[in-house]
Amino acid sequence: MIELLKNRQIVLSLIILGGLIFMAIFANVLAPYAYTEKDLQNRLQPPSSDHLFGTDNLGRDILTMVMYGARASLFVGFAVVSVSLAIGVALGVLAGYYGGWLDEIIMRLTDSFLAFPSMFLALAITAFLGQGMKNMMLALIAVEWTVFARVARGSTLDVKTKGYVRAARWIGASNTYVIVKHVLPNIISPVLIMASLGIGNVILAAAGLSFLGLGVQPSTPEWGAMLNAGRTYFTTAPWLMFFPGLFIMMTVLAFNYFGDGLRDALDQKMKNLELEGRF
Amino acid sequence: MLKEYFIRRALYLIPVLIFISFMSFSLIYIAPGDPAEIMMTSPSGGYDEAAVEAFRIAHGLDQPFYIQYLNWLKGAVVGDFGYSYMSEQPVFETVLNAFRNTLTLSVLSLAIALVIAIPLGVVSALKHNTVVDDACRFVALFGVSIPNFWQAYLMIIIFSVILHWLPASGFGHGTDISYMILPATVLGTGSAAVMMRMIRSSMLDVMGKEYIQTARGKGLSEKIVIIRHALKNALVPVITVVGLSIGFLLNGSVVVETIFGWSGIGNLVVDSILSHDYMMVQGSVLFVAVIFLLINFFVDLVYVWANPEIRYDRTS
Repeated sequence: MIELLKNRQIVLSLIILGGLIFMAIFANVLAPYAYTEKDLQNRLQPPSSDHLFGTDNLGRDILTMVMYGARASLFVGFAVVSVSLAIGVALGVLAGYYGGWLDEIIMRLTDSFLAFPSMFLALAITAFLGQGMKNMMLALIAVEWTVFARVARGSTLDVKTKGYVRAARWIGASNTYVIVKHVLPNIISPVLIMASLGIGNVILAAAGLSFLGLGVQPSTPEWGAMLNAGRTYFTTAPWLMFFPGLFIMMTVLAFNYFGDGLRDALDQKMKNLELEGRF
Repeated sequence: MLKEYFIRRALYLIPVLIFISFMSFSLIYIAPGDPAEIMMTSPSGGYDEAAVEAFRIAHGLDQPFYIQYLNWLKGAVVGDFGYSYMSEQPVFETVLNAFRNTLTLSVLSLAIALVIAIPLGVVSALKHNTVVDDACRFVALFGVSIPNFWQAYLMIIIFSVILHWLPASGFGHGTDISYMILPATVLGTGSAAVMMRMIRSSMLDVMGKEYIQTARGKGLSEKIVIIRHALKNALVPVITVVGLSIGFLLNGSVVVETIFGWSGIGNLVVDSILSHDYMMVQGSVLFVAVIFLLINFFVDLVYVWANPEIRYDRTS
């Protein structure tokens, strides 16, 4: 763990992520205005000393909206990845450890979900479930869990062939014991890397869905929804779209940079993870 | 051995195809409420009870679920995806036309991506672990992190609104390249980043090989060694990038085509969702999934064929 903090890339991305998380948690303290505060006299104001990022079409302060928006985006990112990780790791370990027909079923299920380009699957699910944050998150979980299932299965297969695992089973250790004691600790690194890259990916996808008007409702302080609301004014008041977009990019970049740094730091072998279709 | 592997992989496709058809079909059933009601509900919210019942019978929605599924599947296998409830157009033809337009845009995007990715990947590998390498890798990370809708608007502002070089949006009958440049560039950015990373690691791998030493030993200039020997071989595994890029391009098409008003499959899906044209959504999603699955399947075969040794330790 201490070793990781010697990596410049990891430290730098952690600082940025820490700042963003801090901003999200303390948005109510840090924000210069209340996000519900509409000032119709001052709508569509360009950035100024009163409104650093300008104001939107309802006269709300964009800096304030961006700060509260960090809450929504980070929450969606962490929540979707946590649930996907739990589902994916559970299924992946089961498939890899027990093999046989269980493996076949789980892997074909994974393949089926992966057969859909992720944006199309997420779109289709939100289209039929209906808009809203909860449904959007369900759709993103449906897309995201497969990555973890494949990584967990691969790592489990790898661990299973190790001498100490074979020895443990030989002397009669229960399957549960072997999984908890030997398999899980060994798959933590690749799963953590995928989780970090996954959060970036989820935030990006969520913003995309909200941008299309299929995720979080417009007028909610969420980055994608803010971009959606700003579309109409993009030539006359580009700051409506510029700042939320900039923050989406910074956040996603920080998570990707962190995941990339972890991969380099933890193991050279992890380079193969690129083949999973992720960065 | 290779043949056996190919056959096994092909057999895997069967359960997956059945499952994705089932998923596409049942999408409409995860919607809260009755499909007939949903489809007959006008955008303002009301519906006529008699019309719903007539619709239900006309479209076989009064039959049990599995019968409906089998009927739909029977048609889907031969390219009959039913008719749009909105435009009354055959779904399959509409989807196919839209997909053709997406393909046109994708080809240009791939070209743009390669033009960016090859030089960056090669330079990054040659200057391995230097500031140049770090910078190239950061640019690549940047490329996958930039939201495509945001990049699209920035580019419209710069190239259409300020410079007046290119049209902001439109289809231009699908042949006017000036309408394609902006969307293709936005789409190409993400793929370029992924490709650049693969070309870099593949180049690094090849540069360590003996034949490169041999080529150098023969006294060939470094330029010839790199271009003729290293790059040529490094590009072989990049075939897999095609699979990845298709995924990137298809995903990106949703937002990019919507913004630029390009009549492709992404635009079609979004429009169909917004107008509650569920047959069209269903058909497009299934079509895209089947195409994507088959492309990945062939890419995988080519990859294994080119690298026989990885066949057995590939985990899935």
